[in-house]
Amino acid sequence: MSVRAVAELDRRTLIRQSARTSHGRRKILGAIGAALCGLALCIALVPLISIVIFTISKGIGAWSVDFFTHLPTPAGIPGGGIVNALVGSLIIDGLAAVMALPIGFIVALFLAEQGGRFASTVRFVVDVAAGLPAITIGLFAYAIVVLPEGHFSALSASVALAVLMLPIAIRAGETAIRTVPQDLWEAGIALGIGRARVARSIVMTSALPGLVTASLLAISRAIGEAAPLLFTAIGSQVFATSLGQPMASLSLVVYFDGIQPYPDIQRTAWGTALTLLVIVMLLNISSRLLARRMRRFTR
Amino acid sequence: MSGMPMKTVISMDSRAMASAEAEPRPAPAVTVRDLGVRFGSKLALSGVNMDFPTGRITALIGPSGCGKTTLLRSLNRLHETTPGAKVLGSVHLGDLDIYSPEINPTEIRARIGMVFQRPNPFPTLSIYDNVVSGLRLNGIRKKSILNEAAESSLRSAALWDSVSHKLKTSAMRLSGGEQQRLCIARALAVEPDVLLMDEPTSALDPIATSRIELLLRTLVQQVTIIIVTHNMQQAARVSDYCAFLMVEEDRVGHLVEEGLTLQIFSKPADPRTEEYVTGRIG
Amino acid sequence: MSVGYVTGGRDGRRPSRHVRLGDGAYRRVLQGFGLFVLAIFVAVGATLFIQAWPAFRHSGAGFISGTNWDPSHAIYGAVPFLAGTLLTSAIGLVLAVPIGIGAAIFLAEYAPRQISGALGMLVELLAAVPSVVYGLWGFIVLGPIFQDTIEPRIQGLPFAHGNPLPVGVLLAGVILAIMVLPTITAVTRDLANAVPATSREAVFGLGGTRWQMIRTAVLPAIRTGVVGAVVLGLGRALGETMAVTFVIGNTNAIPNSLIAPGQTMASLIANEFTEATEPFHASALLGIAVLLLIVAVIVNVFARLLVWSVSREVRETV
Repeated sequence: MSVRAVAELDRRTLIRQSARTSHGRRKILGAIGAALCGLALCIALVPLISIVIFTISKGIGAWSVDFFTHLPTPAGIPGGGIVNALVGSLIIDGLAAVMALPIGFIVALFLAEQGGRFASTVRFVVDVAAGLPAITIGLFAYAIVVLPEGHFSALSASVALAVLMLPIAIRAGETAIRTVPQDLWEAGIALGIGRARVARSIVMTSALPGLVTASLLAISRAIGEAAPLLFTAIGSQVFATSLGQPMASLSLVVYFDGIQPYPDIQRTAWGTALTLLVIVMLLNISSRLLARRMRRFTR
Repeated sequence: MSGMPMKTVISMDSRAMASAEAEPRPAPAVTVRDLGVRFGSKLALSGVNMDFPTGRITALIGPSGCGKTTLLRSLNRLHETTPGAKVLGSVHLGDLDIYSPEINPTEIRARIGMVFQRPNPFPTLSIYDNVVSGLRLNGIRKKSILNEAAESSLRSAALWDSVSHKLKTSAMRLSGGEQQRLCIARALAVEPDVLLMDEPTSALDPIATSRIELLLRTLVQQVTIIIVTHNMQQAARVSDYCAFLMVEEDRVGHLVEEGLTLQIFSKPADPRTEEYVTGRIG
Repeated sequence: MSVGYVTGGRDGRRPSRHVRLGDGAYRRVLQGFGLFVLAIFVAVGATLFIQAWPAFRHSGAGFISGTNWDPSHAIYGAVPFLAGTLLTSAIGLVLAVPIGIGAAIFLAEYAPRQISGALGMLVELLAAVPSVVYGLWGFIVLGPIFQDTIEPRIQGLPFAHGNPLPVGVLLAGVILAIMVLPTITAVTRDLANAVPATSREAVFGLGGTRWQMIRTAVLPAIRTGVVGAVVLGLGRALGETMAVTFVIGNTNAIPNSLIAPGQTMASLIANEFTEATEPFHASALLGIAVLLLIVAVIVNVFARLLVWSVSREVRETV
């Protein structure tokens, strides 16, 4: 047998031996690793579940018909509610959606259709803008709406939330439009439809479920925000529907009432928090279900 | 894929056939008895009985879905990494029952190596680290051993000359054929008795393919090779023994016939084998 | 079929994914909207900077290096809030990254498929919980727990001296960690699930154990993507306002201990802006907002470049 063959035989035995003897150690290391990961999962879930449980248990006590139909009352006086905040959130977020979604989806169409450096630049800036702190956007709205007008207003809050919603609407919208198969685009053109715009209507219609999903996500994000509202809508104790006035919102109520030392006011905060949580979860779950149904449909 | 007429698949004469048949069949490296594999409730392979001769290349051939890859993967207990898969029957490596509860799957896999369909070097590792990764996984740390094993297995894979000067560079810089030879070197570095190959050239261009086919004839002096291939010509070129598997509407994957490659391709015993190797089916 | 094609589909001029539009004006309108949106985001930065300029000019370089924030004497130094922001975010990440990655690996590699899917979805839904809810819970539930249980235990340690309070830097850091966890876990789990079976089988084929497979085939493959997710999480933590404002303690000083109260850039603005009547006060707060914006943009640009390089790596190896 050649020297090389003898060396290889020794190596072979060495390898087999090492495989056998290291096996026990490797198994133990693996068990420890798995245990640590499992522990991490438990640690991660505990606070998250606690938040949900506390919000439900402390918030449900505040819920009543009065809660959803009455205006807030001062500390100590029962029967208060958050109807102004409910309506306020609806108005502010509704207006923000009306401002942000159409613009966002048109830009999404732009990004999905056109390549090139300009589109890539826009996409990059939008992605970075998605991470801008909400409070800075609130200050921006303060500077361009509140200062010139001289008063706080729901309109300025809507502007802030619209800027916040834009990146989500654009990116989620672009994803939705990109899932439309290429054939549909080409079919529209091949039909000799003169206006490219009309051809787009074929594409946008078929991307509709995805666009709805994108809208739900954007709205769900906006509804929960309080920081941009601090210096724009600033909250209110009365029922307001005019855009030029300060207005209450669910998120602001959680903050303002939450830091107060009175138990009944804090209970209102929990009740509002639960309301917010339910709304946000409903929006998110619906968008998920819609996305799942859409995927099955396009298969 | 249309087949060539039977007599041009193997060009041989009756004297070559006679001498091949006269050679005694080597002792089996791997013995399979009544092997079947079930995924959940679905049976994919059943009743396979065969020996894989030591120091020879055995090819597993058959149409898609016939269970040849399933059979291959049951030889190194790879099905155990798939939830819901159950292996029936027995597989022996020499005298060793590889499915015995006293044996760790990891030990078996260090003795029965595998090369996969698509080259799969570890993308974040260098060429050197890829080759010795098997040794490290099995607890070998000593530099001298790693270096020796790396050079030896890269030479065996006919890759040493092209990469010896760039061992520390990323494995992903290599071409597809070179990556696959790297994977072969990686599998060889742990000195297995048997090398399983699952369609190793199907993702490669013809030149890379033929280089690996040539390599196999050299490698078989070191290890027993069992190769799955859907390319009949490759099986005819490369293998000493052949096993033909088949799946039918009313019958799950099973072994139809096995024997010398020369015989399977020129005088198959079963009409279904004859139909497959002449290209009428599959 | 080629009759009626308005675009150059057959002449090879058409780029692969994008359909060339016949209507040039339409194209320009779309580009206009793109430009408009670009302008909005640039305007955010520019407007804040303009509004902050008086304070910058007043304080000079001292704005960034000053450690004193005293509106009544028109002294504005941002260091306490830079410190507060960095400290709380650092605590948040130090806690969230190992826990998040560990949890994700468990979900992707050990948990049975059903559980992994259900828990994964639960974690993703929790990422949508509004910050005010986190803040409320942190203030009312976690704060007292910290005060009564945790802080007395760690009081002896060198960096945790002081009286236990229901507010503080550590508490804020923990809340941030809880907020960032779902994102890190969700992204890491998705990345791990995307590692192809053939990489995993390569390790098994060589005789590796399951844990060795995770360390050799999964973790290195997801490294860059996870770093991108972590940096994105950092970006979120840096700008987080409401949850931190509830529990940070509204104290404009560099925190000298983990259980001391402090102030972040965001919480400072939230706490003081509506009462900012002193000269340059409002402007200085806007200056803080500019600093916050710059930090957030840098971090996010870094994160996006990382994500962009991951997708390029994937494309090159396919």
